[in-house]
Amino acid sequence: MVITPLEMKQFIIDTLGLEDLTPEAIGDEEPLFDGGLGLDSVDALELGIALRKRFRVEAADQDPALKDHFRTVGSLVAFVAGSGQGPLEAGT
Amino acid sequence: MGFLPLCQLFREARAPDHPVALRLDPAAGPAPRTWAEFAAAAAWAADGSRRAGGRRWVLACPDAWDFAAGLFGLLQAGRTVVLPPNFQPETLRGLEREADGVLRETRAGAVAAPVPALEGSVEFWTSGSTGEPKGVPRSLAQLDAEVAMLERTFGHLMPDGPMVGTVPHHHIYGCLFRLLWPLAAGRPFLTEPVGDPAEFRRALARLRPAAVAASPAHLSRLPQLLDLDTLSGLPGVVFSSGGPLASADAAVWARRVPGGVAEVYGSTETGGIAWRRQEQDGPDWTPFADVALAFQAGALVVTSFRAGPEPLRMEDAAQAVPGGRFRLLGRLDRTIKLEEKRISLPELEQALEAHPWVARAAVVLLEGIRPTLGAVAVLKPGAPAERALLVGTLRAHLALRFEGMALPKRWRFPKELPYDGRGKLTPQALARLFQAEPGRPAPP
Repeated sequence: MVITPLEMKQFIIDTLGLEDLTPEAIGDEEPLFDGGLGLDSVDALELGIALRKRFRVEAADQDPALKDHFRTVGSLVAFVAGSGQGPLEAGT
Repeated sequence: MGFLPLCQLFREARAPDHPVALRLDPAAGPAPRTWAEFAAAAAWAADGSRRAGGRRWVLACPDAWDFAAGLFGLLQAGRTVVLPPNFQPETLRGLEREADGVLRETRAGAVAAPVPALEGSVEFWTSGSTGEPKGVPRSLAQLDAEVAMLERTFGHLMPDGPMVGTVPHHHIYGCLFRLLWPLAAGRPFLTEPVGDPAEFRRALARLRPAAVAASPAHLSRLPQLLDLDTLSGLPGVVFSSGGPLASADAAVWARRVPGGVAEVYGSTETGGIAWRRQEQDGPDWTPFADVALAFQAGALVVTSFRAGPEPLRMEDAAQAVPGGRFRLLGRLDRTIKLEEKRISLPELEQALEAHPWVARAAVVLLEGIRPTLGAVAVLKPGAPAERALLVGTLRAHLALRFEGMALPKRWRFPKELPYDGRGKLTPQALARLFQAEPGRPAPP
């Protein structure tokens, strides 16, 4: 599933309620966590849940950790593009 | 295996090849790490601290192995061990100013000599309710009483196997459950935390842990990222602490884990006070066997060796229920728990007001799907008018001392704080500021 970096930035802003950020303020290769955006580990889980719902990507079954896919907007876009669209699993 | 009090660990000693710690990624080094290595690492820290001198030492170790070995090394050297609330630069600088030394890592290669029974104390530095961070002293005897009580209360739920956790090792819950309790009980601990879902899956499959020490933040979200029915190596019991776990979230795990989900209610000042397993026993809490409880003006008062010499009043409203148990009813003061981290709103407000651009500040917990912090700042003349610059600078200013979760995610810059007619500033009035769009900062 192809998503542009701009769309991904807006998705991150909307999902995490980042009121004061515009997509223009987030660099494609800027570290999302441990960096200027100040996102924390629970934000990573929230983002993972939202990606799963919206794009049907399974982050937790791959070998690299969630945080590797989520390092930057660029790596997120690549991750979503590379993941197949499997059937949505029931959560519990 | 065999349970050894922490004070006796280095006197009785384990077999040199006894597994003390495991690593998630075996490529990082041979696993398991043995008692011989652990004792040597502690000895290295002890030698270094003795040579340098001083009384109070900061244990600034983000790595759990270094933290554990360093803790005992410093105790062996007779130091009071200062445990920081986070590893942000200004936090460490502030603590180092009031200490005599800092330990950031341990190394191999020292010779571990026999060590007499240990004593001494640590200080858990945490947010205070008045705005200043405070050090909470815990003696080694109190920590020993804590791990003995945990083994006595929960040991029967735990099969053989290592201890794994999603929570940080440097706060009291993670320190006890991920490091000190396994060390005393002779169970290996996993050095890395496993909050990441892929790492959680891998850790369970590879290590088949006896227990997982987790928190509501992870227990509520991991099932939305992992199909629990496809996990192998689920533990014998899941622990949760740091905040209330929704019964629906507890149920998801309890039906897949033989010992269920055991929640522990406590604090840095008191240690563990009570426990419950919601699936089995409902919402009410059972005090640990060494805790005496009283109820004063709707608040819980705790008397216990582990809580210190004085009875301590808890920050939660509570009421007694039949059978010696109690029910929790909500927080009483302005120290909040956000995703299990203790956050002092006054401390954040004071830090904001210390910035030259800020005249007055108030921070409020905004409820919602995910509770978040909102900061309200009245600006001084000379503060910039541009919102992005304001927010960016003030967040960076706070990040010197507070970590991610404690940083406000939403900001408002009104002309004045919304006091009511009686001169009071209520959370409701502050929250109302966030219902409208951000707008432009009000000129000072």
